[in-house]
Amino acid sequence: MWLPFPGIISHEDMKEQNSRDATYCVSTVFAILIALMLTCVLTILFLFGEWTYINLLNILLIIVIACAGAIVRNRKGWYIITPGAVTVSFSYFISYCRTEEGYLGYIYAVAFTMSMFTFSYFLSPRFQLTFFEKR
Amino acid sequence: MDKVTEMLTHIGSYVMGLPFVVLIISTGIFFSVRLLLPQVRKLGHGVAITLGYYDRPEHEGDISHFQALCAALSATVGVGNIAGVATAIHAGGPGALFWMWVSGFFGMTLKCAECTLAQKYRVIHKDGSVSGGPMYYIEKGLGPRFKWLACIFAFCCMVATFGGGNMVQSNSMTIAIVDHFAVQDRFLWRAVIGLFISFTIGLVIIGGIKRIGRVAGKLVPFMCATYVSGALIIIFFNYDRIPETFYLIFKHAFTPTSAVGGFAGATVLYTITWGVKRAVFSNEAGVGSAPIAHAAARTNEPVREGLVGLLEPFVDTIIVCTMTGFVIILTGSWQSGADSSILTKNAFETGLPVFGGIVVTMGLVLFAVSTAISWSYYGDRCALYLFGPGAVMPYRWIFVVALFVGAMTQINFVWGFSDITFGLMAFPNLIAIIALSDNVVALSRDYFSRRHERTK
Repeated sequence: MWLPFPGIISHEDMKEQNSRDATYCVSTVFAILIALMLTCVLTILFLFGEWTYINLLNILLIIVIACAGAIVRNRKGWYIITPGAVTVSFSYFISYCRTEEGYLGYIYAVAFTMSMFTFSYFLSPRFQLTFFEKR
Repeated sequence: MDKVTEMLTHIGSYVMGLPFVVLIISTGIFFSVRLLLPQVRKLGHGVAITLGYYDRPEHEGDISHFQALCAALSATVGVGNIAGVATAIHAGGPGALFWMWVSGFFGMTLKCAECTLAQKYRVIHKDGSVSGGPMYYIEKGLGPRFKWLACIFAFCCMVATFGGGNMVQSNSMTIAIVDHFAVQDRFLWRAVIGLFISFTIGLVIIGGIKRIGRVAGKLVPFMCATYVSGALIIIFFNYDRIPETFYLIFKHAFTPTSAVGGFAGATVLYTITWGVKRAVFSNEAGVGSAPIAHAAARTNEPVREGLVGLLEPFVDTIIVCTMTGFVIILTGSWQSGADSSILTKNAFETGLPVFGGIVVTMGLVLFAVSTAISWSYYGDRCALYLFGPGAVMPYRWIFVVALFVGAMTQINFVWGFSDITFGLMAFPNLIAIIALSDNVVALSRDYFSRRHERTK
């Protein structure tokens, strides 16, 4: 049966899989998540004109996360990506609290969700193995 | 004290605000896509498992699939099904009910995923008893380095059990009885009712999950049947208004509404927010509470319990909440300007004079009793995880005493505090289920690739 994204059960199962497939999948998911995070922050900046320091810092942080994920496939990269995604989600949450509920509030909530997804996905056994396994 | 309460309420509104709701719904959609809509394709299989067609006594666990579902349902079917739906319709118009259905629909997969994980990573103790839930799948699934996240969940859940699962329930139960009978000496009656509630619930919870499962297995079908029957009678007597009700629900789901007393110039987004918020709080999908009960089910197939868990939002939101919403819209009470349980009571009294009020009061009392019973189990598993086996009995006794305190006092402070912890326990759980989504997919794929024989 076809399922979107292949599934794994544990690190052991992961090791049995073709490592090239696993790396490809990790890269795809990572690229999708970064693209979604960027879309949210660009919408906030260009559509709503919220050129605040916090949003500019967020876009900077997302670029750092993207670079860390794309270039560094070792534990240093993981240690940049996960705290980075948490910081971005926290700042979106604060931005939401400072905003009256409206369309901007919804965009902040969506942006928060995207960064939470990024952070959560990097905790999965698949990502942990990709970043922590010695190559 | 009032300022502290106000501040807690304010923080609670942010913690359980829009980001929380969007995160839960997005996770529900994410799992619906990854598991290819199990809430549609596997609903029948879930019903068959619940009815015991796949039960095997030799499997490990404390209670049957049906008892696990009832124990979890008894926690979710609560005051929210009576007062929460009314609040959503009051604020968001009849269209809010449509968005409650949407939320319930995606909540079904979310529940399926968390119950599957709870079964997969549960712990069987030396005495044969079982413990499971988010704290275990966080620690065992994500690895021991995330034990701190599991502890945050367990602590928040334990604190939340004293608020929303205990004092709030005994308080609302006492108020419902005292108001219904319009008694004179309110203090004395509150004390009597409080003692009675503590004694009755104490008798059940001191016996542990096996007794909770047995009681829930009888209480939940009875209370749901009573409440739903009352609603169905009203719907039956007003059958000519059913098409109009559907028209109102679908029309106002996509066009701005202006409910009398509710709001003016509302937007569709406002309706969506209210509908989704109330449904999420009612069916507790993604919060991480129900997997604790589902982990105790007697099975060696994690996905099987996931499919049982899938039925929970279906019963809670798509059946019970719909009944409340239908009665409110059908009787025209949604335009009266009343709110919360008063709106539901007015609607039932309009539709079913004399008996309508009794059905709602009875529903409030039974729903609150059942919620308190099941939440005590969630709290005792968290206490066990955090402090070891020695903490279980003291926790249960404190829980019983807190029920009495809740019946006697004003609990705005507790409500505000438990609101925050309720929201905070959802975040570690959602992080874990997103991170372990690969495991859910793999388990699901493995289960459906095999042939399963019925046992009866």
